[in-house]
Amino acid sequence: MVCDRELHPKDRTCVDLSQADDTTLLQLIEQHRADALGTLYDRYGRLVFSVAFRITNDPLTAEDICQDIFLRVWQKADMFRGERGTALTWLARMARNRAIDVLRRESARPEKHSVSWAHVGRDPVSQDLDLEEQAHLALEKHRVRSALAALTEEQRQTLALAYFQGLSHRQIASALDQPLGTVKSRLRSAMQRLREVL
Amino acid sequence: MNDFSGRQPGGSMSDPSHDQIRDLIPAYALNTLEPVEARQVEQHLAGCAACREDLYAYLAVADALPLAVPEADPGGGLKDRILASARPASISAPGPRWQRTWQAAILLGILILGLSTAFLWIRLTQVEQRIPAPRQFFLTGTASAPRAQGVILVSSDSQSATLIVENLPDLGGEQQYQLWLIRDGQRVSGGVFSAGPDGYQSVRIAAPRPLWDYSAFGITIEPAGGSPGPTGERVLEHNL
Repeated sequence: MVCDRELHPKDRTCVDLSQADDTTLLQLIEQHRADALGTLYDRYGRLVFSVAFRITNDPLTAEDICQDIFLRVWQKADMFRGERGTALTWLARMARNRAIDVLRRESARPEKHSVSWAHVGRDPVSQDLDLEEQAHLALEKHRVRSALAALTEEQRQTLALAYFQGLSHRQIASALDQPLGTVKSRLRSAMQRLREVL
Repeated sequence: MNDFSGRQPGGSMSDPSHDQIRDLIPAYALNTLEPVEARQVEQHLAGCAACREDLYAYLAVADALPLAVPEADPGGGLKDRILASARPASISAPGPRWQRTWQAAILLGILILGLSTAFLWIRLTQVEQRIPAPRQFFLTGTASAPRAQGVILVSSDSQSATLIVENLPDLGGEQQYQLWLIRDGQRVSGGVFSAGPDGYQSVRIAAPRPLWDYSAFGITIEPAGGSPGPTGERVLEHNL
């Protein structure tokens, strides 16, 4: 393992970038440390790209979104607020919002667009990350995917249309040819169930 | 579309507008409400603490969903492009002719270096593709510890592996958990550990052979220090 040792931005002690927590990385990025940005990309770049790609169904657009987001982090790392969530949730939220904006701006949603959720335990694992960190992330993924797997197929499908395509209740009802009340109930019950178990 | 206009936001729990708006909060957390509905929810949230609590809980759910997005590989070079763009750009007027000549020579050098790097990168990618990715094995809780879960992650060179467990009960000082690696009906110990106060623990696994040679893994409760073979209750298991 290559150990990139850098000075911690606050107490000036030695920090191993690959072991540094996200807050430390963002503090280093704020100081325009490109290697810290590289480490943050190694951790979450694939997931950020995946969110943008699964929403837009276009790899080039997804790469543009991913690049925009990491450049925004580079320019505005101080916008991260730890109390509102982790760096991962911050980045993924930006990716989804940006990708949904693209869909809405272009008023076009990809045909034959896969909007299914990932299966439990199917992802390859990055070579670039610390094993313990990967194991922790894998466990989190397993937890969320298992919770989704426990929903009904109709709940998963409704939630997928809302999450991946940003569709409103009315638009989902139209897409699935289902009554509006049914769609509202499915989405609400899906989110309630996830809230209980996550 | 629902129309709640004319009703008081932040009313009592029995106020129908409160209940109807509360039903919209999951979709609001997903940012998928129609603009009119979203405005109505926002007006209501301003005066309703219970709904704000609901919103925070549903936002946490929405924030977890990216972990269930099927993963895909970005094209090669995206990281390099991001890092190249991240460096502060310097904009200056064209210099004198000799300076421009030097600049041209430097640019040519950079181009040659870039091509060499690209060639090396392609070779490296080919090499990396031959290396098997680390493998992960998920462990699920038995009836004795239904909330427990764990994952074993094996490095690509099979030289190291890490076990992470969550929600394991605290056993006190007289007992510990022991990981068993199972192959052809034989069980060997992969390590003895205690769960932290929050039920979480990360353990480096000591295995006499690559972990993918084993057909199953199990974690049992054993006397402190471990046992030569499993004697206690099984709390986590994985069968290939």
